[in-house]
Amino acid sequence: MAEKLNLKYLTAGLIKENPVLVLLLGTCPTLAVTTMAQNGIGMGIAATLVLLGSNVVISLLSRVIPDKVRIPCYIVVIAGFVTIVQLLVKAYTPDLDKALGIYLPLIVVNCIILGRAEMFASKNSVGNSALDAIGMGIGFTIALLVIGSIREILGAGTWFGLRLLPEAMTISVFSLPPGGFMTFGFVVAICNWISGGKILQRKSKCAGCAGCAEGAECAEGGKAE
Amino acid sequence: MNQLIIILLGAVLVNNVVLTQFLGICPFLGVSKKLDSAVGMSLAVTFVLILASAVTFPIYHGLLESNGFGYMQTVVFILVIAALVQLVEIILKRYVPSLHKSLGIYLPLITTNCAVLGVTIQNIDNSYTFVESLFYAFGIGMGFLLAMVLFSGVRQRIDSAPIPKFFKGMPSVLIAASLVSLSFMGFSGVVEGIFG
Amino acid sequence: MNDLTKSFVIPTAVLTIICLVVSAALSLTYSVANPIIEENNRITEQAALMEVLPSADSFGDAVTAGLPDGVNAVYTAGNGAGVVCRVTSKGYGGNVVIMVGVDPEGTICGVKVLEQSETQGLGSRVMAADYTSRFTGKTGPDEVDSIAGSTVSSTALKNGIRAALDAAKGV
Repeated sequence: MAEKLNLKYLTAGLIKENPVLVLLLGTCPTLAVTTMAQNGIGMGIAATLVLLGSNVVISLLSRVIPDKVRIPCYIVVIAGFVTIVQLLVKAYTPDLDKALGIYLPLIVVNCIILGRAEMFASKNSVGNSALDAIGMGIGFTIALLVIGSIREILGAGTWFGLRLLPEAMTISVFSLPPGGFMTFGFVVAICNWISGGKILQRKSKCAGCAGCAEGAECAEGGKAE
Repeated sequence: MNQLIIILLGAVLVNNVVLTQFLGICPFLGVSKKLDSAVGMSLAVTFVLILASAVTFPIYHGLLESNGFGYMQTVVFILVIAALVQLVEIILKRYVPSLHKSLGIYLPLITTNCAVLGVTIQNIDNSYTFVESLFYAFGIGMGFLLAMVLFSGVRQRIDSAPIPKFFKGMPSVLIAASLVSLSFMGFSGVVEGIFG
Repeated sequence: MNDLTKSFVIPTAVLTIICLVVSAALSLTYSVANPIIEENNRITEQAALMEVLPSADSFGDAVTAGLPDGVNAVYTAGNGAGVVCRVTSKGYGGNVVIMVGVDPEGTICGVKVLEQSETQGLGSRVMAADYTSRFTGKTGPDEVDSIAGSTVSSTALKNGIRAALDAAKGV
């Protein structure tokens, strides 16, 4: 199965198949950690590391894992990488650990990771799986950065801690949950506009049965576990 | 007793799992289109939440923490949850096949529902006792039900409303969610002062 | 027999092996990371101790046994400036962990909140420095008014301070 490395797997995750803005996966951390742009980047990097690790390992083991215990095995591998990242973050960047809180271990159930493992890593070579992971991870981080920046600038007047707007001009709802939903909605709408409606037309890509927002419709389409 | 009521009401209204804590967004956005699937999913989630809390509590306190394996928490918990969901599916299929048919598709999705893993972790982080954990899990489930039911009504209205082209689909749903979340903010402060 | 092996034994074996390998990897990471985590905690703790009892020069080891309910540890200052108590009380959104510095006369020298998850904008105001600093110089928590609309958080804080004062008396 010596597939050639195909760079298109790297770029797909960046924009055309951006996991958050197009595939609409991983919405929980997107809304939760984007109150500040630097938390968004921290989460993005952590998730990318986990994604890279799990994609590579699962691709390596894809021949060995029997179909019956596929999902539990993937879960164990992913959870293992999440715990490793969690311990390293706690040790070397404890401030990030405090900022991300419970969402750091929740990377385990981030639909992006299980979805890519099932849809891609189990069927492709190690090299391409790694590229896919990096692409998706960077795409995730970019989305978090965009939404986080908007929320931080409008809600707190700062960007990465640098004050840009006087505090009196801030709209604090953006730092609160409703603002999160709203910003996310507008950013997705803008992406739809930029792509000229092409995203809307494409049938929602099934990101794996464990995929979230589209998962129900997908499964209804007949792709049962 | 007071503490239990505070935990319960807090979980349902003030710290609503979906609208304030951002857990369980994925099924919230995906399954809330139709009322009956929304209710079915919420009840299934509540059941798994309570069961998972009940099982993970003794596992953590009795097995992991006392032997210094606290860091295995994430791996063990998610495996327990996955196993529980499988178990629930098997039991439903054999004993209540009608329920399994209507819920069947949504059950595997509960495994990756951030709310379930999130609540089991929170039970440990907040040092809840066993009873408090169960109350919290029940409260979160009820909060989920409340949010889902309210939102499915909202979505039915959106579906029949004229929406600008690029807002169709997820953007309009998200903005509607933001308004519902905004309304829930009115509850903050209700529970804090409830016992004078 | 072959069928049984294929459909049961092998999957279980593979899953078990993966679990063992993952556990080993985690143990390894833990043994590397944990000392660093503990050192970080120690440094933060020392900083907090000095903050709530500024007149102290150094602190002895923490006493963790025989303390009243909720009090995790009592640190005695090397120069007799008083003690610092670390107390955990049940707040609205989880545990509230505070450090209270008490001088030998029973006066509060400082209150610092280490951990809290109270409601943003309400209970969290109780935990902020400009409220907790009001307790400095008082001899009892009830000498400071609670913040309206955050009864549970205020009660948690005050109960914690009360427990700290009790523990300090016993030293």
